Amino acid sequence: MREDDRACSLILLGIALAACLGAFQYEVGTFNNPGPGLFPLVLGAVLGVLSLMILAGGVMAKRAAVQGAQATGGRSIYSKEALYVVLALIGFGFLLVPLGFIVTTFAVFAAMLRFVTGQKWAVVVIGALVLALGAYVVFDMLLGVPLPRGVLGI
Amino acid sequence: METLNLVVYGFQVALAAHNVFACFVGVLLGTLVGVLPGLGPVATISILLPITLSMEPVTAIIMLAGIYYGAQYGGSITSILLNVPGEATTVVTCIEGHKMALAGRAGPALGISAIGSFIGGTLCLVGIMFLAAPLAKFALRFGPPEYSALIFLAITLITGLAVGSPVKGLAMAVLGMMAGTIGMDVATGEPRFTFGIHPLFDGLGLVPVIMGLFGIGEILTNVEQKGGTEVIKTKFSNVWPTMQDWVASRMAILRGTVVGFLLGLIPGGGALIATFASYSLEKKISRHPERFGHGAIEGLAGPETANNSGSQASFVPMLSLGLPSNVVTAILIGALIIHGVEPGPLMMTTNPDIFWGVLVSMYLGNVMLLILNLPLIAVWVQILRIPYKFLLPLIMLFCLVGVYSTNFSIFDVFVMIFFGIIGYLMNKFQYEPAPFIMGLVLCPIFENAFRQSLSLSDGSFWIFFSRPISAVLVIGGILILAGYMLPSFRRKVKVVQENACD
Repeated sequence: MREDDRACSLILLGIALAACLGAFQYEVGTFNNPGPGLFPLVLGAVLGVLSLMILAGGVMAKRAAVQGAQATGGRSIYSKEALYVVLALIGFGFLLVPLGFIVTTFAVFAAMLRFVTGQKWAVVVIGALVLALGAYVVFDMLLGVPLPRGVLGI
Repeated sequence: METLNLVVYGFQVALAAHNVFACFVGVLLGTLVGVLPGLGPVATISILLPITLSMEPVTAIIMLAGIYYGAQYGGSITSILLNVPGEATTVVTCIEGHKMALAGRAGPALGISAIGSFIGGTLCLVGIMFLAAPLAKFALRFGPPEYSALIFLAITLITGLAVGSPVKGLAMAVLGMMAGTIGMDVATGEPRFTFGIHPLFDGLGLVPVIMGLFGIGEILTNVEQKGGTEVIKTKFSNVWPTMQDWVASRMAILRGTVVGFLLGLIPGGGALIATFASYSLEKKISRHPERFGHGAIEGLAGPETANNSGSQASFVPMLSLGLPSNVVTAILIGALIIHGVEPGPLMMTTNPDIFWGVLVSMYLGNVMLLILNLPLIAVWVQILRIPYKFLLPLIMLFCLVGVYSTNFSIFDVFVMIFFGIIGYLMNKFQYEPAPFIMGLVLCPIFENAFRQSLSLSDGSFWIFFSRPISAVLVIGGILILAGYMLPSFRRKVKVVQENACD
């Protein structure tokens, strides 16, 4: 895992620098009259130092690993399943208001059941339908959460 | 005695019908979700957070606390029956508990966990009663410098427990604080880091961030773990421990209570260290240490008790000082803020109903857990058998609707998804989401206290050292930071973690 530390620490360092630069957009003030930019600036500086420490640790571990001749091989950061779940969630977010809760839930979870858990089409259709209608009854009708109805009005 | 009156008051609050109901629903839901494979107490409480938001603050916290220890008990069930610890605190439960289950004694193992937790919780409440009055007096002496120092100390303590390295933990806490600066500046009203996105003017919502990091993040991590788990097939005709079990574990329960209580009070300590400490203590003083690792009931009873009394004691710094000592109490502080209760040293005086009501309700909740679970264990075992692929869509939909229902904002849904991805990556690269949440929750309080302190002192940092309480706290924090750099500390943490994984 250690080789990832370099990439992660560089991302953190980038965030830290961005925060410091961003902090100067607001009034930093002085220590006896702190402005809105002071606290973000201090945090950015601390994060910068910490990310450099993680980077140093990663570089040293990398050297040790090279000497130990450990092959890590190429591996993917994320799995296909996790990617599909994220896509399903994002799809839900975009479709919810325009299409309404029932249609969106049916569509998104039918896709999920089919492509993530690999169910048969019959199970997919019935499962997604039960989920969409069941959730609508529980949340909208029983718990009184007003869910979007979308263009179709359902 | 004044404290006694307050305890009576606490009982009045906790015994109000709607609060009893909230506690019951919380315990039941917590156990139900906590039993589900792959969902630990933190994920459980995050996912169920939205349902409490429309309640009164006291009722909401009572319910969330109920969800918490219900989920913990659910975690004990999965540990004993599946050898799958829902979170770090039940790692020790696996060691002896699962061995007992393999030997056909799952019933007594589950029984003693519930009974031990109940006894620990009861004694803990007595301890808190004696502690409350001096603590409230002490809290009144806290000004902005003391409070900044306290938060500094808490963050250093918490990051030390982070799996991986303390530096990474600290980086996450700072990153969380930076996320907390997004939105309107408290003092000047100037929007910061909003990038012109309107919903960000009020800051990142705590609910979507928490649900993302711990709910969605957990789902994404779980979805790629293939392969089912084997549930032990056994009868649960008898969950009552035998006389022999009871004799073996009664002293372990008492010791577990004390260990849990003392360690739980320390911010950043909490239930996690308590379970490990109790286990090694029992092993050390046992006359038959060779039985440990082969289903010794005292090695289960002690840590389970310590876990419960530790988590109960960790509510004391949270409710009296407004200081979260672990993720769960950080989430609860977040819930209090959402409800408009200002967490801080004055909370015990200004909101005695929350302090005493919640603590007493935890005691009642333990009674409910005991009554509820002994007959229901067979039902929980059935739930354990539900395959994850059926649960996945249900949990996802629950998160989506839950986060949407809090504000009816699609923006919040996307915040949750974004932090879900972040949480997944954090799990992957061994960064802890817990310090991030602590940083996010504590940021506004910390920044405010920090700025007020500097205004008080005319810009001199000496103010943190010239006042005795804050000096002790700051120096303590600095020493802890220095301690992380020592190689011996790193080795010790590694040893503990490796032992836990055996």
